[in-house]
Amino acid sequence: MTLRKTWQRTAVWLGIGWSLIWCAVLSDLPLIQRLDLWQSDRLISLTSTRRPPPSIILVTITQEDLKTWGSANQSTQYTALAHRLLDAGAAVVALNLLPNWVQTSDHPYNPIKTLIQKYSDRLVLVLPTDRSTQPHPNEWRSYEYFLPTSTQGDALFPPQAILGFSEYELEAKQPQSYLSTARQANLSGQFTLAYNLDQTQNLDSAALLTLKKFNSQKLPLPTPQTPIQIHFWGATGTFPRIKARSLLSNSSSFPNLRNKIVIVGFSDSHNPDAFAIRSPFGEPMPAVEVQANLLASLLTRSYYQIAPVWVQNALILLGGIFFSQWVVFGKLYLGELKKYRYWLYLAGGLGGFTVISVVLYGLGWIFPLALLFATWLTTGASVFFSLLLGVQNDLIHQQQCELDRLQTVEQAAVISQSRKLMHRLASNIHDGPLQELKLIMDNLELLQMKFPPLPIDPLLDQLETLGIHLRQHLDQTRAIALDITPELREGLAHGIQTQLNQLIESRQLTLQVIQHLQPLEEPALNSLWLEAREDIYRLFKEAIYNVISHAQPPHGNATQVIVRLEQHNAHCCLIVENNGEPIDLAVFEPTSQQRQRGGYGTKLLDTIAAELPNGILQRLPLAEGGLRLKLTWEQRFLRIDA
Amino acid sequence: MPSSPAIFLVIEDHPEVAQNNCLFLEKLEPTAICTIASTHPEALERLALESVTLAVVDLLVGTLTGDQSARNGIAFLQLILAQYPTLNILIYTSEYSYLKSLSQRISHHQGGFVVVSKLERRKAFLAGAQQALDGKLALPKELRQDIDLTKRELEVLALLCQQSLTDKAIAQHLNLSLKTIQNVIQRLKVKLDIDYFDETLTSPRIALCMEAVRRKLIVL
Repeated sequence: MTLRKTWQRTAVWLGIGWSLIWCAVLSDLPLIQRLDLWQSDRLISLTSTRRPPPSIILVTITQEDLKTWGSANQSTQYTALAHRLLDAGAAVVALNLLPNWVQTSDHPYNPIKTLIQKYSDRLVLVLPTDRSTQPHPNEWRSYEYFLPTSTQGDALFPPQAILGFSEYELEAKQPQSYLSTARQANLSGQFTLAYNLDQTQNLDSAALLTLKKFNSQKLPLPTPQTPIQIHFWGATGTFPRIKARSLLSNSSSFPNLRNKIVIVGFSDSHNPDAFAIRSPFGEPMPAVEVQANLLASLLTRSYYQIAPVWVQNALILLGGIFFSQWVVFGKLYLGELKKYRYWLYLAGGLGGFTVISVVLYGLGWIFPLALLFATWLTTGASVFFSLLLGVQNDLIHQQQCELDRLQTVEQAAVISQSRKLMHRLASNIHDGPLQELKLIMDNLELLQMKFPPLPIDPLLDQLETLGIHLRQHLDQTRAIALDITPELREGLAHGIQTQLNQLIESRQLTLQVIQHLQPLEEPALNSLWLEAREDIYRLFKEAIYNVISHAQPPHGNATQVIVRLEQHNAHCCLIVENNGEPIDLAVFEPTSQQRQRGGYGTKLLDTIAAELPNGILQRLPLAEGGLRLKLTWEQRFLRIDA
Repeated sequence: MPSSPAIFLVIEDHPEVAQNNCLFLEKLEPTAICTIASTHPEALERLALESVTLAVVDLLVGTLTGDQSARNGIAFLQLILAQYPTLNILIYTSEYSYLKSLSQRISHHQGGFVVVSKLERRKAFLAGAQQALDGKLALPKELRQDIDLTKRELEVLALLCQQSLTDKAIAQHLNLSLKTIQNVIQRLKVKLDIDYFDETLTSPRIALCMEAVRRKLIVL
């Protein structure tokens, strides 16, 4: 139950984390971008059945026309064409000029300048540029040479009144994303003049400027600040088009251009100057027709916008959390997989998203679905595998903990059993051999009473000594087998303190005692530590008795004993140090006599140290005299929960 | 009218050791009746039935595990100290450190109370039994930490040290027998831990008073 709750909480963070990661990774993936472009183009195809607005007419110029006109007369012919269109009643004429005219335009007689001066409110010069939403303003081409000036050389019109940009990048020939200039357009942007890079100029797109001139006294125009998705009304040729050649040939069947928007440009898609793109319908489409589609989108307000990034991210995160929770729920509650309710959640989630999408689409917002669904699917899969790994890891960890616990319990059981055996053994020796020894001594004493001359006293002395030694061994065995030494119940520091006080009060220890006893962090319920604590305490007692036996007057000349117990993190240290004369370490080696007295020898002390985690026992003779007994160990004992 | 024989009660679970206890006690008092109780309930029954002169108690009686039996032994001793305040008791055991918990009660026991280690020879056993029969207190050093002085002992200590009275004078002053006063002084020596002093080197009375002053029991 705890595992499930933990994982359900974790699922939220996993959902958020994986969503963000996958969103960042997938958003740059060409496949996802193409899928989103495909989705965008399919939507356009579905909504392109309506007829385009009739007020937009294209006038197309071909490469053949240019050849016919000759390079010297191109601008003159172009001007004548514009004149004819305007004279025929065209409301606005948007002119896509040839880029090579830039070099030839600075001529004493520039007919286009005259044209613009005359029809400034009905003419728009289309300025081909890169994408306008770049970090730095775009530099525009030198189309200002077409702008009329006064005799003093001052511009008669501000550039933004005549120039309108049309974005175009090479990738538009084979668009890879719905963000391509072939699908998306900015309505305004910042540009710099070629001869003065510091001066920036805000320009409208050619479509918007045209629309403004067409619609100047009518309704307010849409001016979205974010790029719009161009609504394509159909494949190339959807908009009515007239060949420039036919207009210039003075034919009698001149079309009705009154109150029309006329876009003049190059229709030959293979001509680089036509700035052709790949349309959503698959074929190349010249810039002039793209402009017509954009203009119609604005005119009819039928354009779409991509949902803002923050909305997309919010949806991705929410969906990621939803999928993550759904996957975790299904994995943790396997029975739910067979219930329709579980799948209903998924259907509900997707249905809810569909409803939101449809509503927002109706309001002109498009979601890049490929990125959304790909992120959600990969997030769900990632959470699933994370869950598998996590649960597996948890199980391994639990198994390891259980193994450790069993091992420790087993160890504790062995220790406990050993203690019981020791206790039983001690009791048996007490009840059996010791009593027998007493009876033998009794018999000898009775014999002695009957026959006083018998030399039994030495024998009795030996037996008495033997009995005392046996008794001491039994006491020690019992002490080891006892659960906890009473004075240690409140901790090792307290036990040492109590022992020192007892020794001082009983005047066995007459040296000045300097104590630095820091209470240790003791795992009170850990039987391994309780065992170890008994050993450490025994070691301390042996050490202090050694000081009394060897360093304290009359046996030695020490004046003080320092007892220090410290803990730094897990590192613990017990020091018993005296300032007596230098001591030969050999005195601590167990002699046969010491063994008989039942004291713990060096070997046993070393064994105690060795059984502690990283336990080290050092006997350090001090330069100024005396000896330091230093026991160090790590306070790391596996916990027993059993 | 002939006096009734002394009754010795040996509380010991090891039958042969118990018999030997009786055997050696006979040497002390040949006419005495020695009764053996191998369990505490049996001992209590005997104590209730007979006027026991001396109880020889082994603390480790009852169960196989020493710790448990010591606990039982202490509980038993606590009971007889409360119920028989004048009973002469000889603790004859191999582990007498358990008695530390009864120090207060022992110090107020009016009968003889002697502790002898089972590991010692029978000479010590017999000496201890005699001391107990004499109503004396004899404790090993390690049991003397928490021993209290009774009101009578404090009175005797004051008369002995502040007024420098002899045993006889103290007995007259307190209207008690000389033997009682001598027993009180012996107990004082034990309780103040000066009974091991070599009397040829130090006057036991002076040592007793100095120790009493050091422990702030009296002010000279």
